[in-house]
This record gives sequence, structure tokens and C-alpha cells, in this order.
Amino acid sequence: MTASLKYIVVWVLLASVLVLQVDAQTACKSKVEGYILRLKGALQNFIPDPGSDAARDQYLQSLRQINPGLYDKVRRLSLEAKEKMDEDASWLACFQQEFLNIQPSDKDENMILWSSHLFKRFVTLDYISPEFERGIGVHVDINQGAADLGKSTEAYSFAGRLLLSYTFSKERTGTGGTVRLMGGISTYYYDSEFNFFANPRVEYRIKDLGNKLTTFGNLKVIIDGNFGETWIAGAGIGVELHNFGVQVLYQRQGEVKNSHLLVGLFYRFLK
Amino acid sequence: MAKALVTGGGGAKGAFAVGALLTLKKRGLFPFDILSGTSTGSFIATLAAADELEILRSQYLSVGPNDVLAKQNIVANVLNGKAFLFDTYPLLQLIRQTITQQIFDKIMADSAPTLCITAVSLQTGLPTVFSNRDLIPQPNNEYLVKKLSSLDMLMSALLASSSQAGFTPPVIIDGEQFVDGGHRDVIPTRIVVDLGAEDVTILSNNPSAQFTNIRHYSDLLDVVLRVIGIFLQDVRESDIRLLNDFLMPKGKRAMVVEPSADLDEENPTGLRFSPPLMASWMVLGEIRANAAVNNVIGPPPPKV
Repeated sequence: MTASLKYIVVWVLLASVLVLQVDAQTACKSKVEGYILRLKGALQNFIPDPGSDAARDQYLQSLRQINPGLYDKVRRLSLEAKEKMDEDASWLACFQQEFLNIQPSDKDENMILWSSHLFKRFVTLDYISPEFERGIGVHVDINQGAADLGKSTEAYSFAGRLLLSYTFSKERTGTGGTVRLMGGISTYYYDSEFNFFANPRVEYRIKDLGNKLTTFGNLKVIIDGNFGETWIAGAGIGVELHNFGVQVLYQRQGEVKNSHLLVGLFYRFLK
Repeated sequence: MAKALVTGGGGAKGAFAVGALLTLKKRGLFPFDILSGTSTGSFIATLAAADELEILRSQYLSVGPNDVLAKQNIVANVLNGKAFLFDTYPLLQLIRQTITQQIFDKIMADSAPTLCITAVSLQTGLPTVFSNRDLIPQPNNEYLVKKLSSLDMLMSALLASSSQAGFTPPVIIDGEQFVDGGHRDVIPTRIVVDLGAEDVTILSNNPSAQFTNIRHYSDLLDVVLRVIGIFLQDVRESDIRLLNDFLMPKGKRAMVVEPSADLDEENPTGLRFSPPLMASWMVLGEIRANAAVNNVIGPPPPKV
């Protein structure tokens, strides 16, 4: 290859790289330009940034009353940023890059302070819950209460169970499930004898107990069935504090249509 | 005359410093001879020392809350003797993915700047500076020094420097428990002073003045977080005073890049990892750094 041919090859390569870079920048710009312009448009009538979250919140509250259309517009724009970011991993990098390219001025700082506050208020990204940890567990409980509630034959009722469980979680291992499938044996004491059943159960986590930094437990809904010579089935609610807790169950019993209202303590081994 | 960059703590708010750093690079203020970082700033200083700003930028634009911390059940932690609210195994994983052997080799090369990562030892109560160089401990015993000897040690030092005591678990290095350097040095200027740097740039993720709040604090958590914010402000002011006491007799001043207002009043330690928010802080960092550089060396020449 002659020296001049080498130069030509090098120049062609450099030009290709440059074209690719320009293409990437153009693509980036087209991704975010419209969004940034709409954001700028919505924020141009905002007051100068007051410098504290409390004052910003006060202004947003007054805006909600005075100009609900604008309030809703900035709220939707904040949520749109989150949606775009979830759809396209490069969107945020383009947002950051293009924002300065469009118009770097003092006014932009004001706008960025306001937009960051809007992101704070309207885009919530929560930590995955530590409740309902994924995996296999063992559940034991004892309960007592009343059978044939409200009838003249109202009687003492006792139940206990030993269940194997699996908690499902879509998130990373060890955290944040909502559904737990369980199966095992249970015993109910009524008519002066212990009766044994096969006991499938589903638990569903409905609410975490705690604050933004930590939890101390969860509230769950329980669907519980017991199948043997007869059946006893119903629903309940439980408060789970790590691996122990309390539950309240209300169940109907087979053809006799008796009921059991039970309050119990449970303990979970493993997950 | 040694030129130093000091990057302060602040968790997610570190995105501000990253934006500022990108501007310093664009404006030709690189390289630095000394890079000193605490907490999130230690991560920034490390990647800046390896001249890997693009990695830094993409990390701070993509990291969500669960990429850094794992929320815990406090009952489980109390019963299991775990003295923290959040576990940091996601952060360790992130550090492992980012800080590669190649980056470690770049940092340890003779041509690399002096890197100083500050953490606080629970045993001695003193700041400990982990460095890629053999630093000489100062006779006043204000801090201890440890030489980084392996990639594992660097990763542990980065994790330790970011482990806010009580919130996240301490990190064990050589049998000693370390927590966030910000408990003693939010802006780690001490080592920079001792190394004699006279051209100092500070990237602080917090404004110089404590914000005044009109709200009434009633929730326990809010009160605790507000008090932490006030405590951190005091540490920050001491850090900057220390540097000014050193520089002013020489007729010099540090260039400080900081936000005009608190970036996240509700999270003084920067636990809100929200990518769109962090992207806006990064832009803010760029704007503020441009303004600071313009003040010191004038505006950039107009584009032809």
C-alpha cells in the first residue's frame, strides 16, 4: 500500500467515526429535544426557585388550586421522564447531554432546580420490600376461638396446622414477594375430638408495616381450606412480624354450615 | 505546586459532583495530582483517578435504589444482631462490576495521581485514608493511613467509605470495622492539606449554608434526618475551614463547586437514588461548575 493510499484509508476511517458520532448526537437530540422544550415551556411561568423544598411545595400546592391545568401538565411531564427512561436506557444520558446544549444560561439552573423538585415529588422509586422473602418455609400455628358463632350451641374451637410453604417473588432473590402457596396438615378440635385435614392455603401480602427506610412486618390476607371427612374453609387476615405473628380466621364447616372464628399465633421457620 | 480535587459525600447527590467533574474535564482543568474522596466521593475520585469519566457518568445516570441498597425488616435485623437498616450487598455488586482489575492497575500505575479514600474506623474512631501511595502518617494522629494492596482491598475501602453507620453495615478490613468517611470528613480536605496541595478544587454536593426550613418537624424519622443534616453541615464547615486556614496565608483560595440550594432536604445522606432526579442534579453540577470555572479563569473562548 502506498503512503498516499494509507492516508486516504485513515481519513476515510476518521470521517466514518465522525459521521457516526454526529449521527449518535442527532439521534440523542431528537429523542429528548421535544421533551425538554415542553418542560421548559411548562416551567417558564414558574416563580424563581425559592431555594427550599418547603417553599417549593407551598408553591406547587397553590398552583394546584390556581392553575390545575399547569399543575397536571408538570406532573405528567415528570411521570413521562420515568416512562421514557424505563423504555430506553439511553434516554437519561441524552436528557443530561442535550439539556446543556440547548441553552446554557442562568434561567436553565432555575428550570433544573424546579424539574428536580418535580422528579422528587412525582417520580417515586421505592426500595424493594424485604417482606415475603422468596423461598421455602415452614409454618406452624395454634388458634382458638368459637365454633357455631351466634348459635345457642356455641362451642370452644381449637385448630393447629403444620404447613410447608413457598413464597414467590419476581424481584431479586430474597425480597419482595406477594404470594405464598402453602400445603400441609391441620387439626380442628370440635365435637369433643380432634379431626385431621389436608390443608392448602394461599397468603397474599397487601401492605407493609414500616416507613420509607425500613419495615417491621406486613399485613396479609389468608385463604385457607381444610379437607377431610368434611371441609372447613374461609379467609382471614394476618399480621406478620418477621417470622412470627397473629392471625384471625373466619371459616365455614361443610354441610353442617357451622362456623369457626379463630384467633391464633403463628411462627415461620426458614423463609 | 500540587493540584488536588476533593469530592465530598452525599450518596445519590454525588451525581452533582459527576456533572461538575465532566465540566472540569471539558474546561481543561484535568489532570489532578491528588484526588481525595469520601463516601460517594470516593467512588467518583477513584474513577476520576483512572480517567474513566464516561463509566462514572453512565453509573450515576442508571443507578436505582435497589442497585445500591437492600431494605431490611428491622425486627429480623434486631433479632439476628444486624446493626443496620439497609444491607449493601447490591452496592458491593455494583462496585465489583465497575471497579475492574484494569481500573485497579491504572490507579496503581506510577503515573496515576495520588488517590485517597477516607473511611472511619469504629475501633480507633479516627479517619483512615486508603491510598494507592505510601503516605506518611502525620505526627498529630488526626488520621491513619493504609496502602491499597489489592483490588479486593480497594473495593472494600470504597464500600466502607460509603457505609453510613446505623443505616448500612460496617465493613471489615484487616480485622477492623470501617464506616462512612463522612462521619469525620464529609469533604476530605485533611489529607490534601498534609500533602501540601495549593491548587484545590472542591466538589461539594451540599451548599455552604445550612438550609432554613419553615416546616415543623414532628415525625421521629424526619427529626433524626434533620439532625443528621445539621451534624453533617458542621463537619462540612470544619473541613472547608481547615483547608482555608491552610490556603489563606498563602494568598490562595479553593475553587468550590456546590449547589445553590440543598439538593434533597429530606435525605441529607443521599439515600434517594432516582435516575431522573440524578440526571437533573448532574446537569446542575455542570452548570455550577461552569459558573465556578468562569469566576476563576474566565469564560471559555467563543466557538468560531
